[in-house]
Amino acid sequence: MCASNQHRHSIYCILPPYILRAIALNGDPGQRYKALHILSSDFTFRSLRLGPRLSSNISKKRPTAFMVEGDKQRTIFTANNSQTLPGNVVRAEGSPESGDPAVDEAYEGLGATYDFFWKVFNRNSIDDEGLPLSGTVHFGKDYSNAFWDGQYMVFGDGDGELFNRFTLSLDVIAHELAHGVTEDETQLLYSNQSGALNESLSDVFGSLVKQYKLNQTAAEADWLIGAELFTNKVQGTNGNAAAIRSMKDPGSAYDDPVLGKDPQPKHMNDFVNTFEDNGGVHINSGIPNHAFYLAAQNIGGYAWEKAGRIWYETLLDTRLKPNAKFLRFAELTIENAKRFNAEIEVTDAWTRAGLVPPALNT
Amino acid sequence: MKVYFKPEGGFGFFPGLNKPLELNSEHLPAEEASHLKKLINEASFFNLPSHQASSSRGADLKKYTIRVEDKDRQHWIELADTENDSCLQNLLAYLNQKQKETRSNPEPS
Repeated sequence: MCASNQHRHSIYCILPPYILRAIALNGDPGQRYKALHILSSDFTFRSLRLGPRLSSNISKKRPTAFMVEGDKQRTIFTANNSQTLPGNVVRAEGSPESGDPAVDEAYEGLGATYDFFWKVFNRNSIDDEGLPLSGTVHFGKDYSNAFWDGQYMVFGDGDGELFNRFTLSLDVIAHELAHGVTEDETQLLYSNQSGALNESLSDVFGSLVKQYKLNQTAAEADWLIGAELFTNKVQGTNGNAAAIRSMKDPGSAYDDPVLGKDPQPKHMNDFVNTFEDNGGVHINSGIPNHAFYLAAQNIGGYAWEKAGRIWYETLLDTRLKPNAKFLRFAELTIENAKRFNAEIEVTDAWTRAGLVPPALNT
Repeated sequence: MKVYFKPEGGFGFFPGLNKPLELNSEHLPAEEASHLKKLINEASFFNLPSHQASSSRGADLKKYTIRVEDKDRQHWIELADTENDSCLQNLLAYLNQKQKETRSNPEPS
């Protein structure tokens, strides 16, 4: 193990990461501290590369012919109901189930999300360079939330009254990882329309990861986000169980005396102008969410094959700027849909969501 | 002492969970009013910076605005769930619990 404090990256150490992870899990406190410190430095080193990329008119070329399958490097931490990140290592890559459902769900969920991005899009982790995946569970006390903090995917246990633990939903785990992907590619500003696009992309990929895992076609999927997160005390609509959001029918996910009614619009006519929620990033994401749902229905089959690919290509498109609005995003998806002979289907989807790009608005 | 508390953000926007909470120590039981003032003092509330530099990274974090008026002074701060200061965490836990109690027992309109 590296004893020198000047070595900040495991590439300079004799011990490879998989041995360091085993020590972090099974060593004595002193050994675990040192191993974790080195692993964290490696992770930090890689994470520092995540950040604003200089805009370029040159499309990013990914030589898929030369890519080999990256190794998943998952580390699950527990915050032990504190708010200190990342917490203590409880499960490292390749280690057996811990017996703690939150730990094991986070581990499996991050793995499923990694596998999806690799198998479907040839993307090697968050940064497409094999960034280790770190998740923290048992964050806070009765904490009813999950978030991406720029380095870690963090999950609370819920309050047991309204919310279950947030690792129960695969699409929620994938949603958070996808924020890292969006941050790596485009850094869509997290406010107003660009923020709603940021949120929508996470819902899109979150839902696709779940559909891929369940081998569901677009017609078979429920298109719900966080369907497992609410307890049975929370009321849905039309006799359905409550969910956090619905891409199929934004505004219908819940209608509850305590939570209120799902505020998401599905059409641009109902766009919510608000200062709340960073300008409504979780509210107005309903509009691009619904557009994706409609595009996937129009195209048919598995949603990740064409619709998901179009949306992913648009995320990578250097013409997508951090301050992009819905209309610009729609334009780019339509442009990217041409390569998949799905221009008509995608255009129809956006039109039905109330967005008609200028070139077509004649 | 008056305290205004407003949560925002998170994985989803739930109208009923993001309502502001307003507390007036004069309307609280004496013991609770004393506890609230103690939390404010231990956090050195009036000496805190109002707004922490927000990172360009991250998503779905919950954030909170706390504004306190006490006699002739007032101050506000904004903090997130990743706040490490234990005294601020204690204040936040108290205010979150009070807001939860208010949800369960809404004031008659």
